[in-house]
Amino acid sequence: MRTEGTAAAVAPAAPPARAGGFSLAEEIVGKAVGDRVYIAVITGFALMVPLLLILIFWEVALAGWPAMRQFGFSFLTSSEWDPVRGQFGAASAIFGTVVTSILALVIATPLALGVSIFLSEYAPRWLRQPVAFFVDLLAAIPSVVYGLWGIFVLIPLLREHVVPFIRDTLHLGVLPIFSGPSWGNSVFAAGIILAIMVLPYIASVSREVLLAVPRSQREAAMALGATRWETIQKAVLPFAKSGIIGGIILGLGRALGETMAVTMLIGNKHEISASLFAPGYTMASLIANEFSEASGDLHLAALMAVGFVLLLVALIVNAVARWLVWQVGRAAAGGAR
Amino acid sequence: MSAPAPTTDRRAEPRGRPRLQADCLTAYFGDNAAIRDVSFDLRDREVTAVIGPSGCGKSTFLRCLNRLHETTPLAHAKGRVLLDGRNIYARGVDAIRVRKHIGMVFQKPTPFPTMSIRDNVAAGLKVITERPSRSETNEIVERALTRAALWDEVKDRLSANATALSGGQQQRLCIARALATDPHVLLLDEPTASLDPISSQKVEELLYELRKDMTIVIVTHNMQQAARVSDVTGFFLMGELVEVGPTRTMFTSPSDRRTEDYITGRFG
Amino acid sequence: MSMAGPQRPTARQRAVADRTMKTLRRRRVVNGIMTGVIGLAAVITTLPLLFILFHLVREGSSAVSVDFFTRMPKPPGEAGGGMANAIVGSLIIIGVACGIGLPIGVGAGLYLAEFKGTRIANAVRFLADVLNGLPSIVLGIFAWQFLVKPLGHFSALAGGVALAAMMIPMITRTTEEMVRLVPTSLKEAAMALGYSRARTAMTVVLRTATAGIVTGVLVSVARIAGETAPLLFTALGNQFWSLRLDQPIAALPLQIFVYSNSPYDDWRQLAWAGSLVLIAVVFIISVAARFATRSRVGAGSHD
Repeated sequence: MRTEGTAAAVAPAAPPARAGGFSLAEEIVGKAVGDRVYIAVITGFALMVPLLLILIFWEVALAGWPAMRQFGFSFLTSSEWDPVRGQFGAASAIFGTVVTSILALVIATPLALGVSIFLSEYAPRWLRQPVAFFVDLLAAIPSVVYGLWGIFVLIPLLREHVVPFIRDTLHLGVLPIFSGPSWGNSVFAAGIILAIMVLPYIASVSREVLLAVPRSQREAAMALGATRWETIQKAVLPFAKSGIIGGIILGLGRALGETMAVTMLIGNKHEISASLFAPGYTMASLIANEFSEASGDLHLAALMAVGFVLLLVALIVNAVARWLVWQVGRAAAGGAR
Repeated sequence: MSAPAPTTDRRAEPRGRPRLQADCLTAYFGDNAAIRDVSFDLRDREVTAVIGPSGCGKSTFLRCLNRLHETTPLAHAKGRVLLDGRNIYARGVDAIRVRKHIGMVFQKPTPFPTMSIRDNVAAGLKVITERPSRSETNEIVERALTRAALWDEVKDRLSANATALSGGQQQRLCIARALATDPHVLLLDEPTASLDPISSQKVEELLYELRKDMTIVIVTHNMQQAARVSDVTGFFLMGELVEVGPTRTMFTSPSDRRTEDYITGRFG
Repeated sequence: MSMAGPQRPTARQRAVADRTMKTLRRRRVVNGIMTGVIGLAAVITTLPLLFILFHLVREGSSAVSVDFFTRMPKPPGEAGGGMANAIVGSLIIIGVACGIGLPIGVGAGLYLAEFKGTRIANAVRFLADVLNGLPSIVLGIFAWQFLVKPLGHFSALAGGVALAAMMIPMITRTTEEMVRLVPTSLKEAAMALGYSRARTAMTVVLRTATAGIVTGVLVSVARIAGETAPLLFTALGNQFWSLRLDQPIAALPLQIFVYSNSPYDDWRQLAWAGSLVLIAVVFIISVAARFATRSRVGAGSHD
């Protein structure tokens, strides 16, 4: 629909100059160079992220290649680690990593869940932020400080009170898992300190996921006469399940890579033992401990190869954890109303 | 205390020359056409109001006039828009430069929160070809704030942060910011929608004064405002420009049945 | 049906009522136990932090003094040393890490915000998250292989690179989030003035997001300040005073590690003191960052 006058009929009069001093006729044609540069620069920086990841992968693989080539798959299965004879097998370190991580998760998960459920279901609203922050602060403590505290506080505590308690008072010393000599530094100590370090990660994710469960779920259960615990068990937790599992796997990812606290507490011995109280190694602590005194290139390469294995495992575990947490985010946004 | 007059004397120009002309303009969000085949002349020294129910495309139309529409992802437009006879959608035309010639005020006041009042008003001066000196800038700022009827309220605190102003003052600040570059065209997208009645009235009085110097296009969902402020009104419905005419005629005896239904409130 | 007032319950009704009461009692007991367990877990969770802080203060506070910050370590047996070289060394390494990590992180964050939704952006975001989860010792290995081995010596620069690799994903994410918080209306207002995308980003978007980005940077600094593993074979540590980027350099967490393994009481006390200082810095930054983002977010949003 048109009003009076058509576009073509009006002859464009030369527009008068403006206060700014530029006229329309010349100005509107052209391309903005500045924008091209800007976009090129930020794209460049953004692409450095995948580049860095690839570079890291490449360099670590390169560093460990001599050992991987020499030992092949047996590197993962052999527990013989003898720098003198040039034989290296990472099995004991892998074993230690697995055991300490599992122990850490076994201890941390109930505690983390407990405090998260407490915060989301029981605690008054004003208590939530401070307590949550308090728990999150655990994640801010540097690993080496945990190690220091572990050496001088935790290990004496374990040696003088906890281990005798388990072995003698509870008479559990007959179980292989609690048997054998115990000098303080042990897989057990490392597992406990890892549990403390991993707890805030599990707690933080669980808390978010629990708080995201809609109120209507709880109210429906309570209206049917469920007790508080039954409500949690039947109406809240099922919703939050995959998110919580994602949080646990996130914690696992953290536990796998922790170096300093573990190396200060685990005893640093190439040993695969059934007992939790024996010393051992994890992949990360092995690298940290032996690097400065590595004898020869093969030894060094073997340590780097352990690092490569650690890299792979961490990549996979973290990818799974992110995917799970991401799934929950989508479900909550889409379906949970 | 009166600000120096603009250097161009537009009062000498013939009244009613179309300064902005939309010609078969269609605007898309992805594959959906929000406005279809709109042809509309917006004349100089007039306030043109664009009215219509929610979602009818009036804001989209406005944002096509300064090529802001295409900054939304997946949005594009077809057709022509002539600014002083030059098609701003022609190939080779840089949208960024086009926008320097047209001022725009949005529904929510958007002062730049990290800048002072003075820097906010002077913001547009940073991208014009001949950047003014510091003293010239101060003059321009004063002139713009006076035209926006804000000078007296802020002249003693030009360095204060812009967010310290009230809503109505912030909106007038945004108007001053748009006026500082002395544009020929001023586009306003529901400028008083988030303002209280007193601030709204101040803005409307402002527009009445400003019309003497420029082409003003105002999108509004408030029909009384359109009736008060504008000379010409265009009615949009579901992406189509249904009718255009002098405001008085549009509100008393519109030609199209749909216009009449909207104006009399049969739907909103 | 007789309407003659309340009837006496039948035997059957009595049995059902009994069963219900018993079940109810059991459910209540279970509820009570679980509530207790949950409460216990919550209490236990708060203990480690309290314990650690307690011991840090008890063991370390006596050694925290002006000397601690200004003096070099003394040989074992001589009291009164400090960790000045380690503190300065940490600052230098962090400076290098920021110099590398900040531009890349902020640039990548800007990219993610500008091109939100595209496939490349999603891939970059995902990979940044992956990078974030890598064990820090692996980053140390990377820097060793990349910088130390070819150049033939340990260096502060290599330590900075390893830490930068940790910082980049963190800064990228926080920058993206802060830039996305800038309302579209502000960007449009700038564009309506004829600002190019570059100018809009630099003068309006970044300036508005600055406070949030700075907070994010501080948080990532707090995180890397305490990292030891990446420095083990890059910066290596240094007993002497050094400001050079191409030589080994001391760092606070490294020194704490060395001292905590030593048999000398003086050094061990320095380790406690260093830990106390380190934690104090990290905590203050964390609290300040929480406070800053909360007062910003709290103003406009609701739970």
